[in-house]
Amino acid sequence: MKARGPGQSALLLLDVAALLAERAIDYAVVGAMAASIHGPIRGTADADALVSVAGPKLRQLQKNLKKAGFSTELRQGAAEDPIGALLAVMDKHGNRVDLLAGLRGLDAQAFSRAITVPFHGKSLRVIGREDFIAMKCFAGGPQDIVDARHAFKAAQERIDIDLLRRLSRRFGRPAADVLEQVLSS
Amino acid sequence: MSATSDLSTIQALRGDVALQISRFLARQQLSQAAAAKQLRIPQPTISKIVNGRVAELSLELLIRIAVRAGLQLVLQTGAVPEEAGAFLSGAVSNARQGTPSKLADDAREALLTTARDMTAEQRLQAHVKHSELLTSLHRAGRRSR
Repeated sequence: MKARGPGQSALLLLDVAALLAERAIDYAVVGAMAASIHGPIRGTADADALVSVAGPKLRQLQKNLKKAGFSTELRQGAAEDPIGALLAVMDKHGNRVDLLAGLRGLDAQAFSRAITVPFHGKSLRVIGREDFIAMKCFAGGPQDIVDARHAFKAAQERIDIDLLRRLSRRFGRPAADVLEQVLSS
Repeated sequence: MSATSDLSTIQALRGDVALQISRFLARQQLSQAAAAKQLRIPQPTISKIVNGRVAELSLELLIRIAVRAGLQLVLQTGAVPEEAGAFLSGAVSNARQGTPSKLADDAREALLTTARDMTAEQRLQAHVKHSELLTSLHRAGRRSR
């Protein structure tokens, strides 16, 4: 296992990502790690990633992770919850990776648009800039909006506005409205 | 300010946030099991909140739960009211928040420019360093209680 102590959830994610790759499960890193790629760098206690599995396959993934020596906890989202299920993966140092499955409104192509980032001799798939901004607009909290603004500002001309608007609309009208605020700020 | 008043302030804030969460749960008329599932926390934590046994719950956890419940949070700090900044959770404003400062904007822009020159891998490495530092600070805070 790569994590050697606390505060290394990103390294725990490397182990989890390797297991996902072995099982041909698409994933995309989101949260503060993705924010650090698309905007100002900031730390966090845990690491988040979207995964393209649900139901029995997610339970199988949980078994695989347990077998690999990790603690896990699988929770199903309520009917109104935008997240279908959350599989938390923990190590002995208190590091934690949250695998989010079935995010409502997410474009399935988000996984193919993810970018590959080299990290500690391996690589991670990180959510693409447009998908990242659209998701942040969907989340809509103060920090999310700051992240979206920074990512948009950092992108300069390297951003597909049409795609960004389309992705935001998939998450619903409030997300589309927040995006327009971000674009005009 | 003494250590005692530090602790009493934190304890008072814990109590305030827990009370609002309890009121939210009462309004929702959820069972403790359903509330635990909705707020993504263990059921015993819900029980502690509802019964006012919050001394062993961290303020950060209570804030997380309140945010997940969709409750508004406002935090103000400052020696005098005029300098007190406010952080609002759950509110989105069309207007830019805060008092504009060219100096602060320039400093933020310089930070972004510096980071722009970093590779993606360097960014992730910096993220890990920052995360390790944050975790050390949190642990030190817990030890000092």
